[in-house]
Amino acid sequence: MLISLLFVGVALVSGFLFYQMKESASWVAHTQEVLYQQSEIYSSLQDMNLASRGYAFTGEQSILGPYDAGRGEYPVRIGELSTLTSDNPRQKGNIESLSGAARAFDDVTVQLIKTRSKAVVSAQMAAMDKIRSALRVVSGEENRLLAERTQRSDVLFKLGLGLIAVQLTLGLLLLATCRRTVTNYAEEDRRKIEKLEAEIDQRKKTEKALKETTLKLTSSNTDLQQFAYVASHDLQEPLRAVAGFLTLIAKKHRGNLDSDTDVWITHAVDGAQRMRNLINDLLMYSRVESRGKDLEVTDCNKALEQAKSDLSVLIKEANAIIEAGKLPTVQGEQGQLSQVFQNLLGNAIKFKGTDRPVIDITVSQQSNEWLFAVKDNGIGFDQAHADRIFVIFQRLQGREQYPGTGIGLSLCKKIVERHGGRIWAESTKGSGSTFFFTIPVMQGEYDGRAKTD
Amino acid sequence: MVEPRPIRILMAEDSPSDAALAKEAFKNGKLLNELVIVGDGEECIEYLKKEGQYKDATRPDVLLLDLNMPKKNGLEVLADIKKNDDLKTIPVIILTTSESEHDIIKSYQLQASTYITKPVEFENFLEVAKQIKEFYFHVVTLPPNGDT
Repeated sequence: MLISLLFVGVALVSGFLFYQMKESASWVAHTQEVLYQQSEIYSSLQDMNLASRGYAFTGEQSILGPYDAGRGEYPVRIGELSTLTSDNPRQKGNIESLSGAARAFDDVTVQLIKTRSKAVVSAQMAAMDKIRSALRVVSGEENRLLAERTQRSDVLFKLGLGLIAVQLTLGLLLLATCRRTVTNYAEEDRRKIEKLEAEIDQRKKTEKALKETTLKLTSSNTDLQQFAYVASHDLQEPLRAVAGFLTLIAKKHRGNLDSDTDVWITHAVDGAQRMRNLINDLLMYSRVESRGKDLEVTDCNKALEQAKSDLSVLIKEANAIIEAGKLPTVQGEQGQLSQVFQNLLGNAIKFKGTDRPVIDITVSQQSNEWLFAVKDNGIGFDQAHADRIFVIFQRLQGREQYPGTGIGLSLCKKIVERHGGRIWAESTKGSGSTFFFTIPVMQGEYDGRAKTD
Repeated sequence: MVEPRPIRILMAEDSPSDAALAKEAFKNGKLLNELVIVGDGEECIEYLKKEGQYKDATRPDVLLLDLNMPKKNGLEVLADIKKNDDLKTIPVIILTTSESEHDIIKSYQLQASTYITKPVEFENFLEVAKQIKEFYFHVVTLPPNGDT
C-alpha cells in the first residue's frame, strides 16, 4: 500500500513540475513580449527622433514620413505594454514614467519641427535619454521579475526532482524489502510445510506402530483369555480324579484307618476341594471377558434385586439390613453387574462386626459418571491395604475365620472396568468400609430415567 | 417296575479316571448295570456295529457319550449313530465337561436324548447317576432291545 502511495506522490509531483515548466515557459514568453514592445516603442520614438532631426537640418518635408508613422505607433505600443504589465503595480508606475517621458519627447519634437532650431535638439536629445532610461527601468523590472520567477521555479523544480528522486528511491527500497519479505515468507512457508510434512510422517509412523501394538495386544489378550479358559477347563479333569477318588477312599475307609490317616485324607480332600474352588473362580474370572455379552440398557435396580435374591439365605441368616436408593439405568450387562453387587454385599455380610449388619447403597451423579457407594458397618480394614484387596486371590483375613478364595473383589474390578468405570475402597479398621465404583452415564440419560427419543 | 436284567450301558469316555468314577457312582447309586467302557469314538462305533474286536458285543440299552474324545469325537459318533436305522433308537446321553453353547445345541440338533455336564463334585455325580436310573429305567419306556 505504501508503494502505491509513493507512486501517487511521484505522479503528483511530476504533474506539478510539468505545470511549473509550462508556467516558466509562459513567463519567458511574456517577458519576450514586453521586451519586444519595448524595442518597438524605442524604434518608433527613434524614428521620430531621426526624422525630426533630419527635417530640422534639411527642411525636406518627405523626411517626416517615419515621424508621422512613429508618432501614431508609440501610444498604441505603450498601451499594449501597459496591458501586458497590468498585473504588476510596480511596472505600472514605470510605464507611466515612460509614457510621461514619451509625451515630453513628443512635445519637444513638435517644437523642433516647428522651429527647426538647433537649441531644441539638445532638449530633444535629453528627452530621448529620459525615454531610454525609462525603457531600461521597464525592461530592468521585467527581467528582474523573470529572474525572480525562474529562480523560484528553479528551486521548486529542484525540490520536485528531489522529491521524485526520494520517492523513487523509497519505492525501490520498499520494493526490495517487499520482495525480500515475500521471499522470506515464501521461505518461512516452505520451511513450515516441510516441518508439517515431517510431523505428518512421524504421526503416520506412530499411528502405524500403535495399530501394530494394539493388534499384538488384542491377539495376546485373546491368547491369554483362551489360555486361562483352557487351563482352568483342562485342570478340571485331573481335579475330578483327585477329589473324586479321595472322597471314595474316605467313604470306604472312614473310621477303619488310624486317626493319622483319617486326618491326612481329610486334609487331602480339603486341599482338592480348595483347588477346585480356585480353578472355578479363575474360570469365572476369565469368563468376564470371554463370555461377556454386549453392553445394553440395564436397570441397576434389577441387578441389585438379583444379587439380593441370590444372597437371600445369607441375608436372612445374618439378619442383615440392606438399604438402597433408586439406582440409575446404565449401559451394561445385568448378570455381571449383579455379580458385583453380590460380591460387595456378600463381603459386607461375611465381614460383619458385632452389630447387626447394615449395608447402605447410594448413588450420585459426578459429571459424566454415576458414583455408587456400598457402605457397611463391618470389621473394616487398614486403608494401607486398599489397593491389595483388588488383586486376584489376595486375602487380608485368615482362611479359617473367613472362607473364600479372595477372587470376589478382583472379579468386581474386572467387571467394573469392562463397563468403563473404576473401583476403590475406603475403610478404617473396626469402623466398617465403603466400596466405591463408577459407571459411565448413558448418553441421553438424566436423573436415572432414560430419555425416550 | 421290574428290572428283568441288568441295564447295559455303553460308555464312551477317554479319561480312565472319569470312567472309574462313573462306575463307582453307578454302583453307589445301586444302578445294576453291565457297564462297558470304550476309550475313543472309533471303538464306540465298532462296538455298536459289532465289528472287529467287538463282534460278540451286545447292544446297549443306553449310550453315555463324552464329547471330547480322540480319533472320533462325540458329535461325530452321534451323527453316525443317528444315520443308522438300527442304531438310532438307542438313547444317547451326552456326558461331558463342555459347557459350550455350540456343543449343547449341536448335540440336541443331532438328536441326543439328554445333555449332562459332568459335575465336578463326586457327590453330584452320584446324584446324576441316580437320576439317570430313575428317569431312564423307571420312568421311561425304552425301545425294545433285540439282543435280550
